[in-house]
Amino acid sequence: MADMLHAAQLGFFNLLIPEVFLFLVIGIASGLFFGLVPGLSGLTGMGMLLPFAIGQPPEVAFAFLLGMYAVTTQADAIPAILIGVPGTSAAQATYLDGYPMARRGEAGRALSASYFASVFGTIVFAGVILLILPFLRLIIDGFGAPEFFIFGVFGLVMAGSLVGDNVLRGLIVAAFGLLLATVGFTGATGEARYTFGLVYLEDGLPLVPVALGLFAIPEVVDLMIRGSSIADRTRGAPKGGALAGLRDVVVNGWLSARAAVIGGVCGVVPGLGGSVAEWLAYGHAVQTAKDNDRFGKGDVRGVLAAEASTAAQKPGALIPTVALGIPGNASMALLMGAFLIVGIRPGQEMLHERLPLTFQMVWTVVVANLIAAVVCLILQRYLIRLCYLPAAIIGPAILGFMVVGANMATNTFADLIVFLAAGVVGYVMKHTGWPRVPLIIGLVLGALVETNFVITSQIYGYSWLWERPIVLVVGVVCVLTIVGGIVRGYRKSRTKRP
Amino acid sequence: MPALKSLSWWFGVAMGAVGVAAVVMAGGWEFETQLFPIVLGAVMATLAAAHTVLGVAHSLRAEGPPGDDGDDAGTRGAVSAPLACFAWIGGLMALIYVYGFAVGVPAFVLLYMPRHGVRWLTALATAALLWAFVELVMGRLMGVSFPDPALWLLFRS
Repeated sequence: MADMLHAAQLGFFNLLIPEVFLFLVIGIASGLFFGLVPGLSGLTGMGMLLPFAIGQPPEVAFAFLLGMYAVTTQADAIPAILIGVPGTSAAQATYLDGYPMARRGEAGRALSASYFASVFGTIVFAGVILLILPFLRLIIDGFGAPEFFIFGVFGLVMAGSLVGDNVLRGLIVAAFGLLLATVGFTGATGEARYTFGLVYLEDGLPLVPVALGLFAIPEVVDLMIRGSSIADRTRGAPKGGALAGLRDVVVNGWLSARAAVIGGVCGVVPGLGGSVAEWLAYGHAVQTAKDNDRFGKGDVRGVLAAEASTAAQKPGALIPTVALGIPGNASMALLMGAFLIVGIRPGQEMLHERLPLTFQMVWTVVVANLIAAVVCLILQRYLIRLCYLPAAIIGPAILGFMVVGANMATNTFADLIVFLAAGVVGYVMKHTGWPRVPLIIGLVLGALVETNFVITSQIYGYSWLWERPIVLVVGVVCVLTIVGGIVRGYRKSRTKRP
Repeated sequence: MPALKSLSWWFGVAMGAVGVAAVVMAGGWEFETQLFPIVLGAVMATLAAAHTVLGVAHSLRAEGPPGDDGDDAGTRGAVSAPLACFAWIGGLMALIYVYGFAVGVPAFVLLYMPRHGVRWLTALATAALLWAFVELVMGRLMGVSFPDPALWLLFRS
């Protein structure tokens, strides 16, 4: 335990190194922008900023990326509460009670409650991580290739089954992502796969242009199609209420803590995103409240529960990413890309030699939320103006930044072709109900899954399937998840029938 | 048959075709190289076949493909707007290819914004901001080497 505390201390001091802290602040500023502008999100930001991790030390790269990622949920509460425009699906529940509060003149209270709930939720789950990390380390130290393989499959199955409505589509897309990851020279035999004679593809399909194209282009295209400014009305700038919001968090501390644990657990389970976390916590708040008739009409507890859970979901999602190398969501899949870029392997290394870096990542989320809360309190009435920028300005400007980011994978024009092609595929997928998240998780996990699959089959034959208890348990969970998804889809299609 | 008019159904068919193509292409490789892609291709093809058959079965009952969220109709009805946007993005790529990033990106902004009702001054300011980002921040500060523009290569040859 002493080494854990020492590592936690080192991680915190790493964050205070001037260069690291500067990049953290730049990351926070970027995150506020991505969170404030509805249609953009932490995922878009992660895709756009990922190339800037190239050439940076790990401490700087992760402070920058996680600083950005951590604060987007705080910022997207601002348009959701003030102008009734939830920027992401994860801000929908915040909007449900926050916007009615703003309409009756309690915008300041709602906003400050959302900021402090975010900070509180993050701190609570960071504490939980500190408590469970020693046990997690003991478990993961016993992992071999079969366990890493089955957890890779588990991540894909969860992403394929829980993201979107159709488990079949999710699994097809996850397999497609894995297939894309096989492009290029294979480590085992040195043979080229699916390169079509192109030198560009010999090192594999680069993650950054694919992820940017898949997620960011559809958002920008939709923004450009809408044409008008993102928000066309205002309910007045928020006044006061900062202390009232803080008091709400203190008075409802137990509810916020429960919501934080719900959100954190949702983050740990691959495939469950911020929106699931938020709605679960919101539902819990409604169900456990004695007087729940005001929920949906402007009850501050709705805002608290929603924000505490989405904020805690972010450090929660770090656990499978850092400890197992299994990204819990698309943003974490991109963060895995950052691991590859800075030359670090997630897994045991992050829980031993790189433990201070692991703690630095957790501290980054906490400190970023804290700084963002203060910044938002001071600047919210000015920040909100970003929502009124016309799409004709913000669309091409974002596109300009994106092409530069996409090009940084290999610095060739081919990056842009991949970026555009992924954009077309992403747009079609978005508008036809095909989930994009499993594709990117498959692309990121491809190497891990294949390597461990080959090692496992060479060393253990088929016996690993029934001789290793973790494999057995996780395998059964995978099957149950798929069956559950199919049953859910079947029931849904039956209820849709006239 | 509604399934045949559904873009999401056709996307499933395309996924199946990709899976089959992956298996066929991997046929001539060494065992260790081909094992994983063949397994994935087979899984994709099988699941996509199930998706296709289910889509047809559902459409025979006049329901539309399973999980169809109704976006297809909207997409079909408004193809021109996304196409126009993608044409603009294609134009941006062409500008970058011919003139390079430092010229192509600001030029795109100057072409796009005034045509969509943005004042010239705002367009110029945004173009200047993007030029500063590409040339000063990325190029000089971070030392990113952008690919040479085609025009430059043409002159040099």
